[in-house]
Amino acid sequence: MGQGEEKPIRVYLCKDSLEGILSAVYMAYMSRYGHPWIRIAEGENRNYELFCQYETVETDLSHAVSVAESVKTKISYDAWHILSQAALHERQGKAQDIYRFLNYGYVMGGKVIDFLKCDPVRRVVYDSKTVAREKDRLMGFVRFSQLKDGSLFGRIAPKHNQIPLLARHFADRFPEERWILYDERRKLAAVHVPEKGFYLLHREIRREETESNYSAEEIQMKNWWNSFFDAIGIDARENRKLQQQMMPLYYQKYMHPFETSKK
Amino acid sequence: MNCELTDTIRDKLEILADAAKYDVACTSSGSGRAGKGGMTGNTFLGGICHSFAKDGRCISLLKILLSNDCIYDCAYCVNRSSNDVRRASFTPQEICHLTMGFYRRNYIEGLFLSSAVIRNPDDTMELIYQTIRKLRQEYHFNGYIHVKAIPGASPELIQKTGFLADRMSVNLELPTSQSLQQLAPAKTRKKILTPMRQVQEGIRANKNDLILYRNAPEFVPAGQSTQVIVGATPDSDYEIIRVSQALYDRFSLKRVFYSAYVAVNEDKKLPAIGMQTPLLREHRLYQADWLLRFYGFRAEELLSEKTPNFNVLFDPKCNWALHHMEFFPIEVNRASYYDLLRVPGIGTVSARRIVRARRMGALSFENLRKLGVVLKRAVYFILCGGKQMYPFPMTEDYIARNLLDVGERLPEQIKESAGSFRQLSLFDDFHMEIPVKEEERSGRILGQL
Repeated sequence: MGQGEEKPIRVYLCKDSLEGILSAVYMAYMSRYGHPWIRIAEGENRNYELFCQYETVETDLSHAVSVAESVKTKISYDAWHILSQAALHERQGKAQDIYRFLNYGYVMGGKVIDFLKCDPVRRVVYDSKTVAREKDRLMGFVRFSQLKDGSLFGRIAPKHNQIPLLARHFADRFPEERWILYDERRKLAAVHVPEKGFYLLHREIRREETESNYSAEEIQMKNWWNSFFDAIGIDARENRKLQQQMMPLYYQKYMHPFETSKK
Repeated sequence: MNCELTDTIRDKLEILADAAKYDVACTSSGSGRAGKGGMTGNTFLGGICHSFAKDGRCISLLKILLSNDCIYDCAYCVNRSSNDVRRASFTPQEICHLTMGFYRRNYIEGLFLSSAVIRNPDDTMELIYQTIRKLRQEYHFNGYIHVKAIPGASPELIQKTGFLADRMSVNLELPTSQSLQQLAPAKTRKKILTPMRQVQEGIRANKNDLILYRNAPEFVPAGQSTQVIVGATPDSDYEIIRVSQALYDRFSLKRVFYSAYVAVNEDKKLPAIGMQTPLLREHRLYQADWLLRFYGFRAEELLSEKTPNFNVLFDPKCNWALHHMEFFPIEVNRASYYDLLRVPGIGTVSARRIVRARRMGALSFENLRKLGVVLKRAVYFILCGGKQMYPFPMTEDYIARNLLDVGERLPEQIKESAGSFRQLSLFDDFHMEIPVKEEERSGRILGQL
């Protein structure tokens, strides 16, 4: 990278989504302005700095797809997998790290995911692990309730944006069901229709709307589950601390049978 | 569904889940199967925990007995025929209804079906088979199923069941045949090992079929497991892990589970009710079990006839390391993966990260910290670029004392006793030694104290 040259820093502002970040990466590369003087910043909240040029990048799906394809072919499929998960992390500043990760990746190839000594690369790799860990937890902790029309409704509030990953998992698991999985923090829902797959929808769904609408079977199943849940624990080994460690209160709020007692 | 039936299902759930709770195996791992159109469910290779009971154990499967009406009289078991407990049996219909209801709500990952022996082993196995056949074929359930193979049941029944289940298990219950004979006179070692061998052979034969015919039905794809009760008999840890090792080696088991004995029955042959559940011992056995399966240790390295039980204060790996100081320190940048795994504090995750990251250049202690390698115990056993992190004597005594301070969280009473049994002496330093920090050392050299 050309050292010594003085240029103002250029900051590309993009939407906080995988497509948004990749569109900005596309612009950054096509501008040929030079990597050392480019930053990418995602999301809405930020402090503007002096002596920087700001440029807003509109999300362009075709640009994002072309970057994605080049990552898969020129770096590696593993790198793409890591990158796409890391983009779901809630951390501010991930776009810049992803950009640097790609800078190294296009030079080093697939080996970049082992370059953990390098801070931005390590942050991207570990971000993706964090997202994957939360996903693993939520695959178990999501609770669906049956509504009067027979469809299933699940409400979560994960730290990271898990809806795209979880929707894929549940679409495979319940291909014949109509279900909605709703992220309360991001007001984002995945709606699944049998034989058609799922789509994502930005809309608020309030608690009152769903909780008044449970089917009769739902209440019975919940009671049966409570009986089972109480019976399966061994009193002689009671260990509430371990229980909470494995299942933090943060998630318990949205899980039957804990939601009522811990609200 | 009418009210009376509802109540009976609730009662049955309470009785039969309660009766099944001492069976520890509740994993849903080992089988990765994509969803299918027209069916409900898939399985996830790593397993999924859906909830955690009040004892902190994971709830992954709907763990119930088909029936607790047992003809046997095993001394350690709640359901022994001479016990006066409420008896109940589920119908296959009820089990299917519950499984589907819970599964759709994502409460569970599948079904764990065990049973007491009703009338005779064949009848019991037949009932289990009928239940999971109904679940698979009539309810189109494609999730995880773990069933017990009943010792003494006919091989054909076990074979048929195996093609519907993901995992099968036969409980060994007691590690030696003497203790088995003493506490469970109706069972013999041979009777237990026969179905285990059959399942192993079945899996092996099925692997070959799958190579030839991609769509051949899978036989017990998640392998088989077993369970050993700890603390009901005087068997030593050494005997137990020797048995586990033999099971892994010779029966290709996926898991051996250890169940700390909870005294439920009054019996002269057993520890009294109210005795402390040997939880730490169970924990140590699990630690050793992991060392056998993932760390390349052998049972004989960890224990011997002379020291047949695990150390209370140190985990098995720490204990091994302290007695093999000649093996350490090892150089992080050069040691093989399996040598790294022998360092206390470095597990499979850290070792893998180190092996990957060092391809891109030598690692320093600072790099290790950033990789997420926890150094508080490992620091006494490793070198980076030929250097210790800070100078300290490589003696067993010094390291043991420091490890006690930073080590795992032990139950309170054990920690206290470890402290109080220290012999006072004139030259005792009472753990007052603090490792010297880098800046303090340079400060001392420069004379600014």
